[in-house]
Amino acid sequence: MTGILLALAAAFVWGIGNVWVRLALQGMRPTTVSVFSLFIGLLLLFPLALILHWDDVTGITSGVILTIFFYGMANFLTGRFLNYSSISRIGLNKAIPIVASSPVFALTLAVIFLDESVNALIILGTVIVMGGIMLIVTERR
Amino acid sequence: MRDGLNRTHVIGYMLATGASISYGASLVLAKQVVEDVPPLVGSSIGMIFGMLVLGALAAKNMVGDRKSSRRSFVWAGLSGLAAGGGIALMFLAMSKAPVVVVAPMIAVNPLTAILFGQIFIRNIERLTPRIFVGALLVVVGVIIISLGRNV
Repeated sequence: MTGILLALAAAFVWGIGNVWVRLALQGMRPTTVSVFSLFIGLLLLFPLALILHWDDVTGITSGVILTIFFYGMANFLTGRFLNYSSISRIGLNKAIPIVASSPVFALTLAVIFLDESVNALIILGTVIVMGGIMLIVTERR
Repeated sequence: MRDGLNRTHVIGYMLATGASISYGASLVLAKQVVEDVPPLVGSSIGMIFGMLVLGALAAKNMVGDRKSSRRSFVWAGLSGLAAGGGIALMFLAMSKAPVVVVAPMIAVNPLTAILFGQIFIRNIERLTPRIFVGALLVVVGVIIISLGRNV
């Protein structure tokens, strides 16, 4: 039960966070909002990482650092910047559901590069996601 | 171009799709990262790289934004706290419950964003029944995918 509540809390915190992004974007460029939000987020997360996982931080190898670098580029550079740029152009209500379809692309990449298998549930979910995106994109107003 | 699908919208949809692909790629890379270091460490260091590279690329823009209102900085700062706090809560949730339970709960975040948008910024965010149903379908689809991946 605690895990469920914490996960729901994360969803709510991200939800309100996106509203704050929308408000910030009214007076700033997406790049600035992205960098500033990353900086503030780091002030929260990095001390926690140091306190809880000091040995892992200090013992990290160059090979792992390289993988983390590419992860950081995908998630926090292009992902966040494109996410905020899309919110500034089409608004929160249209951008966020499209951005939230990322598991479909993760799955596609995992099938191509990690030989992950696909089952009927996954195909059903993908079709439903695509249907939802089509509804949003074809909204005329 | 067709009414309702102007250039700004097309670019916006392309940006959102690009973000989705980037986040999708990061999910695959994250799978590799957490084999070597705790998720909190991988995320924190990844954020440092992302911030430094984006900061370097966008330095000119950021200088131009230094005169933005204090309110904009407050909203941006709060959004950073929420993004970081959400990551911390997600990892905490995953330490207390299996991914198959946590992932569907996390997946509802577009609906919470829309809900809060309607409560706090209804004047700048228009919600139509079509957009709401579309968002609902995306959330349901993502939940089914996450369940399918854990069968």
